[in-house]
Amino acid sequence: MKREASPIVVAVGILALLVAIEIVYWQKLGPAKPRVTAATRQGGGGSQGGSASETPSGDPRFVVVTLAGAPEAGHQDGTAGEARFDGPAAVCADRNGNVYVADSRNHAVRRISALGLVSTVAGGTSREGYADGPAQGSRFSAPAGIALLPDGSLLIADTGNHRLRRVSSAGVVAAFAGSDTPKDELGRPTGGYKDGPVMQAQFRYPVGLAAAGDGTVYVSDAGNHCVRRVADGVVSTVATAEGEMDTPTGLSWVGGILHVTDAATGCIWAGPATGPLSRLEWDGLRKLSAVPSGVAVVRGGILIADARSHGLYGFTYRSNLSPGSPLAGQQGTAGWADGRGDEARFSQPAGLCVGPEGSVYVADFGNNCVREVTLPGSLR
Amino acid sequence: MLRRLLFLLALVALLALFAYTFARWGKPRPVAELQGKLLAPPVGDRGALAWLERRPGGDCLVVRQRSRAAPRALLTAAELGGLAVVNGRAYLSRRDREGGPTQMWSVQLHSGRQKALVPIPSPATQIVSGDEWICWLAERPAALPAAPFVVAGGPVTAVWAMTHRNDRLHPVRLLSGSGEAELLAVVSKDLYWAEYSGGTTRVRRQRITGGEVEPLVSEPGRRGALLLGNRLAWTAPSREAALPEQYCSVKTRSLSGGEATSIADWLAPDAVLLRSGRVLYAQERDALWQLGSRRGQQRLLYRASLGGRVPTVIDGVEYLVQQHGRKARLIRRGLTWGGKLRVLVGV
Repeated sequence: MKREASPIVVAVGILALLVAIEIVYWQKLGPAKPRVTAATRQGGGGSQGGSASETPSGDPRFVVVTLAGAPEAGHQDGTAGEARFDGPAAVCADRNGNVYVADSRNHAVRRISALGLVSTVAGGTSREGYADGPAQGSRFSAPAGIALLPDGSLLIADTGNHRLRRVSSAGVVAAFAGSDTPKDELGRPTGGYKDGPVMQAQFRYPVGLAAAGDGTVYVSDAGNHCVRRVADGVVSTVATAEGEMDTPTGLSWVGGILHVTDAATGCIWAGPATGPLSRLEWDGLRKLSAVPSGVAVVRGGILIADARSHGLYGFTYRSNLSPGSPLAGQQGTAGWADGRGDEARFSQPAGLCVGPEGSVYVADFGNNCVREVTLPGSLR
Repeated sequence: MLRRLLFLLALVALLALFAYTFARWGKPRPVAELQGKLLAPPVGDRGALAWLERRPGGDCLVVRQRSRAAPRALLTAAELGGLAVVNGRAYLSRRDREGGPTQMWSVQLHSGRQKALVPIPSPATQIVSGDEWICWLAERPAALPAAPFVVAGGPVTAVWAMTHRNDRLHPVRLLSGSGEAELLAVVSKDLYWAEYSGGTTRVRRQRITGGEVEPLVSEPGRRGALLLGNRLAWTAPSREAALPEQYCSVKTRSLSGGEATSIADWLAPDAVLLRSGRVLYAQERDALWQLGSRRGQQRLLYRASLGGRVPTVIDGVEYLVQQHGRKARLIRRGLTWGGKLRVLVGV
């Protein structure tokens, strides 16, 4: 009897095992169909924005050229074509046609001479830090603002060190404003907020700079959500008429009027340099959900760089000069192309400045180069 | 008569077993239905499997303690991050409320016993563990999120370390960029990681206790790398294709130095390297290859696409996340004979 029972046990056991295995898996696995969605598809390439035929492009009266650098990041001096930048964030120009660049990821200040030769003015040891003294041995931390002082020296927003630094004509770097702030767990200064004598005042991520003819300096203090003024050795805060700034970045002073871009709210603040500043909002910027990064006042209006839509836009106090369209670049399309305004492409344009002959220089942050935009007689 | 009938029944059962085995051999099996987004690929140790899910009620550490046990949430918090398992013990970061303090946390997978280790500055995004050291990546968000062109206010990625013994916290290195680094392994006192910046992927090594960063490999584009015993394996542009960026090759070299050797080519440009023990795999979108130690030894394991992502390999079994209707589920598929057998019988 025992010998006859064993096949039954085996058979029932095997069948039970099979049933048990199927039961263990609470859900039967059918043949899975591959789902390739736009989100999961990789390496598809293609343009970063809309097609050229559908997307508003710039004004053909504008002409854009690359002054120096190329999209390939690096730190190299030399001719305009050979030179390499890494994250140029701000530019300023002197009367002789030299353009100075806050080369943020290289922690350096660079100069593009009128002849097109690029050299390192200060910093650039590839490692961030803080060191005053002769320009060659000086160190900065991700400078994001630059301006020329009336005496010809350069003022640098040493953003990562939360200070303003001055590079004299003789090539010596010295503190201009700001003091030590507490350090975080990684040993990096956190910045602070304090008005008062320049060497006791504190900043938090100073970005945009502008210098008035009398030597007064204006600073967009992005981390403190305000604009600061440095005059007669004292740092103070410029008031706003209503509401508060969020992330002031680009800054321009022309004829006693300040213009400040607010990257977080997508608006521009303007008013007398003594304050208060009022909010200006244009439909064009609001519709774009713009991240205005740089501002320059030119003949006929205000030029604004939008880091989100990769274009330059023109406005007057009353209107948008080209509603819905950039004056240079293609809305929403990042790229690197010179040519007429409608052919040119930018990538995260940041700081702007006006050159001695009326052209505008653009720190093309995403393309790691500096661009020159020749304007028609007037924006309008 | 009865005896013959019984033998016939046994034969049918055996045939059914063979048919079942034939039909199911190498086929994927579901492990669990996910109730949220998978935060970290599953990790396993001593028969237990653990993963992190972001659910509507908070982040969960989900553990399947035995092969047939139902997965259960062992730990729930506002934010959990990183996950590594060593000797049956899971390490992860825990934060109980947004903006609150973060701690490194450990959980015994089998007993569920939990222990707070050290306070850490910010949640971990990835954890790797060696015999002596545990290292993790932590990202501090941008100070000026609205201004990505301000480098100084940008997000910061840092590597931290602590020892298994005294749980001391120890900053190792500040990395450039955010989300652009991947920790590869801790071997003895050395940390290996891959970093992508400026269009180039660089694999580097540094002694955790201090010292200079040692560059090991530099390849153009976004590349993957992993450690295979005492060798480093990584993906690189194809050496044979006319358009090198459209295909990728796999290279290896000894950690102690020497020439790089190409062991595979003509793989999809986004192929992901996987490892199980000392066996190296390359996962393409719709194929899985087992790679040998020399060119010409690569073997196609699977051609069919499962539409899966986040693959990880544990003891010869590949785990993937697959969309199933509106829900996602974790499935597994055997790669080796042992792995296939384990998946078949459900252990």
